[in-house]
This record gives sequence, C-alpha cells and structure tokens, in this order.
Amino acid sequence: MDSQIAIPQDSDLLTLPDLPFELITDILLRLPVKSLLKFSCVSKTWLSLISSSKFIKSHLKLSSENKEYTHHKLMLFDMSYNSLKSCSLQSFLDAPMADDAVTNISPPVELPDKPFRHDPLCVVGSCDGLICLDIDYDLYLWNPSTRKYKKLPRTTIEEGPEIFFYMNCGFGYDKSSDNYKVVAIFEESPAKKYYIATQVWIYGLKTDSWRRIVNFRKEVHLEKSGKFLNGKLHWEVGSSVVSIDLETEMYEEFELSYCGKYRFDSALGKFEGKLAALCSDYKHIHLWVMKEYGVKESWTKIFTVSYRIDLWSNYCPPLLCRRKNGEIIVLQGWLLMVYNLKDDLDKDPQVNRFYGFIEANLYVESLINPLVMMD
Amino acid sequence: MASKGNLTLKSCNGKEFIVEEKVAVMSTTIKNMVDVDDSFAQGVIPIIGVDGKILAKLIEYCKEHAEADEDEEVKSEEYLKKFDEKFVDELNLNDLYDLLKASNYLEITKLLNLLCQKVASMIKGKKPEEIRRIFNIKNDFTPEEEEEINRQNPWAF
Repeated sequence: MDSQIAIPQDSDLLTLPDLPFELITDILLRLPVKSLLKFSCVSKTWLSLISSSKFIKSHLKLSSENKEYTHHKLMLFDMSYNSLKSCSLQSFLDAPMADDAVTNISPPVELPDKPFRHDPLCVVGSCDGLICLDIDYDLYLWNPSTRKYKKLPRTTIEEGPEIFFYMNCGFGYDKSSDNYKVVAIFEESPAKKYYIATQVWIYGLKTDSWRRIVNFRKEVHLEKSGKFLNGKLHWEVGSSVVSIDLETEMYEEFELSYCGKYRFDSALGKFEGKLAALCSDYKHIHLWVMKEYGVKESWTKIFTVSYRIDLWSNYCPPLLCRRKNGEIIVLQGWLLMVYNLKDDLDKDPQVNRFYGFIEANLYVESLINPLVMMD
Repeated sequence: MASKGNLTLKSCNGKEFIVEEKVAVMSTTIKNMVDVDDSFAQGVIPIIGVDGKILAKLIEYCKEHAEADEDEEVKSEEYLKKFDEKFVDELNLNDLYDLLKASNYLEITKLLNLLCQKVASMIKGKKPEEIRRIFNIKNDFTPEEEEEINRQNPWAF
C-alpha cells in the first residue's frame, strides 16, 4: 500500500538569497497591486522601488499588455444595492458572477441615497487604472486598487436659476505632458427645446485646475461619456465621431460610414486597442472596427448576428474583448454575450444576464496615485 | 569541435554541449560573444557559473523555443504555453533559483520572464516577514516606521 507523506508546500521552503536587484525588480513588476502595497514595508529599498514613478509605469505597462488579462478587473455598479462591485475579468469570463469572484468595493465617498436628480453614480471612464467618477455632480479620480482618490474642484461655470447645465465628460491621458485630463462639455437647453453645447472646459491633474477652451460643435446632445483612445476623446454626434486631442486641444471629425443610412442605434467602444462601434438596424447587430485610425474606409465588420430586443442594451457603452480561443465577448450593462465567429448569422449568441447592473467598466490594476502627479 | 552552424558550450564543471547556433543565440549574452569575436563560433564558449545540469535545462528550453520561432505550424503558441507550464512546474526549488540566475546572466529574456512570473505567483500571498526570509533581506525600518507604512493600506494585509 502506498503511504502518503505530507509534503510541505514548495513555496514554504523557497529561498532566493542574494539575487541581483534588477532581478528582484523583474519579479516585483509581475505582482498584483495588493501584494506590492503589502511588501512596501519589507525594507527601505523595496519601499522606494515600489513608490518610484519608473517602477509604477513599468508595472502599468506590463499589466496592460498582459494578454491573459491577469490584472484586468471589472467595476460593476449594482443599482439594486446602490453599491460598487469589483471582479477579475479572468474569473468573470470563466464563471460569470461566481460569488467568490465578486467583492464589494467602497467608493471614495458614500453614494447619495436620496431621490436623485440623475443617477447617483456615473463612471466617466477609466485610464491606467484610474477611474473617473461622477458622484452627484462631483468628479473624482479614483484608483480602486490602492483606494486613493482625488476630488476635482468644480469649474467656475455660472449656473443661474434660469440656466441648467447638462454635463458630459471624458477622461484620458496626455502623454506629451504626462498628465491626466478631464474634458467637460456643458450643454444648456434654452426654452427647453434642444440642447446646445455652450461651454467646454478642460481639467489637468498636474495643475489641479479647469480652463475653458474652444467650443464643441453646438447643435448636439451627448448621451455617452467620451471614449479615450489614441490620446483623444471621442463622442458620437449624429452620423459622425467628433474627437478632441488632449495634447493640442484640436477637434477632428470623421464619418461613421458604416451600415449606410439604415443605421439606427449605435455605441462606441474599444476593441483590441482600436475604435469600435456596436450598432443595430433592428434586424441585425453588427460590430465594426476602424482598422486604421481616422480612415473611414477602414471600418471593417467583425461580426453580425440577428437582432433580438433582449440582446440590445444601448444604455451603457459596450465592453469588447477577444478571448484566446477567438470568441468575442460583449458586455453591455447587464448583458454578457459571447460570439463565436464560426457560428452562422442566425445562431443566437450565448447570453448571460445580470439584472441590476447598469454600469460595467474595465480597468487595469495599477499603482498610479492621483494625489501625487509624477515628473 | 562543433561543425558549421553549431556551437560548443562548456559548463563551469567541464560538461560540453554541442548545440545549433539558433538555439544558443536565444541567449543575448552568447549572441553578443559570437557577434563580437569570431573565435567563439569556432571554439568553445565557457558558460561561467552555470553547471552542466542547469545548462542542459537551459538548452532544453531554448531548443523548443528556437524551433517554434522557426516553424509556427509544428509548434503552435498553445503547444509552447503547455511546454512552458510543464517546464516550470517540474523544477525543484534549487533548480528554479539556479535557472533564474543563469537566465539573467545569459539574458534569455523569454525564460527569465517565465521564471519571474513563476516566482511572483509563489510569493504574492506571502507576509512581509516571509518575503524577508525568502530574499534574505534585513528589515531596516523601526517598528514605528513599519506600522506607519502598514497603516496606509490596512486592507492589503
């Protein structure tokens, strides 16, 4: 009979003395944020390494480029409990909403629990592990992985009893000045007939201040937050996309020449680093990707499935990603759809629903500290 | 003497290995030696501080990856991923340590990344005092300083 001897866990006996410091750095760069925060107290050298901007940026780069999505997380807003939940993308894809995979996460401030003028919380966008939140008209830059946050000052825009401004924002990063920026487009509705974008303001984390810039196209009402890609924020305006460059503050506009004139409903997204649009003509749902940025002829259809009313939720921006096996994941609010490109048009995609969630945002875990802007 | 296209690598305990050049130059250190000094390509390349057992392991790894780089059909990404997993899983702790140092010295980037990832997954759940033991690091904080650092992220513990 075989006798079983208890073998101690390998890692209990692990010893790696006297490794060159660059090798230790290489190992630490692959750790999750939580472990790094915990290991900050190992020694003075480790603390200064883990808090250095060079390390933080290398760690971010490695985590963002990880094709297994090891350090990617989903931030879900649970409307029924008025709470935020976080879940690793990997475990979400393997077993959606398994109880042990989802953890509650406290927002920077308590969410207002009162009859709302609008949603208690709106996620403007995420970039480099920072999430820009709009909580009851106040904006926050929040790192949910380190729980550090910065409340943004308000603009000095004057709101009178006669004028009510609607604010639409976008959040991104300006590489040229190594600065995180928020663009706020204010719309007002004279005579309550239509919205016009009257003022555009830009905020930079380094200066911690707002500045008014050249106006957006006037005759628009923007429903969704700006989508950050290629150093620019993008909004869908009618049958076009308007973008603003966070470095030059210049606007650009290009046609969304997909689905011809039968396009009824669409939402901008990001797919494998490229601008994408999920759209529906009420007969089909298509995913289009702009293969070459800014070139309207390069819009390419990735898939088409038959439309079903329960497959379409235009309320929030879609999250799109491709799994290693080629399946395409579309997460839109409470809908998780898995498209297999090998399936034919009429085969319904695999669908999971999570009622109660109205926001789902993807972010990568990082050590970027919104309270310390780095040189 | 190695034939053309092959290199001879000699471990620190005198074991010689004849390997194809494309396998050997997976190591940036060896590649630089061969590029700079032609005599290395003809003669024997001494691999300082790496014994025969570890050198054999390194060659086993580089052989698979060099062949995969050449012909993706035969050795797919999926095949390599499985090979990598098996390779690190079968290492004992001494070999892991020696390979880590050797692949750092020889600059075999892919293997180094794989081994760093393995170590990271082994230590991510450890306590700070265990980390100090593993890496042989002296705690140079006063208890007050250490407490102050920990107070900033109590939820990480």
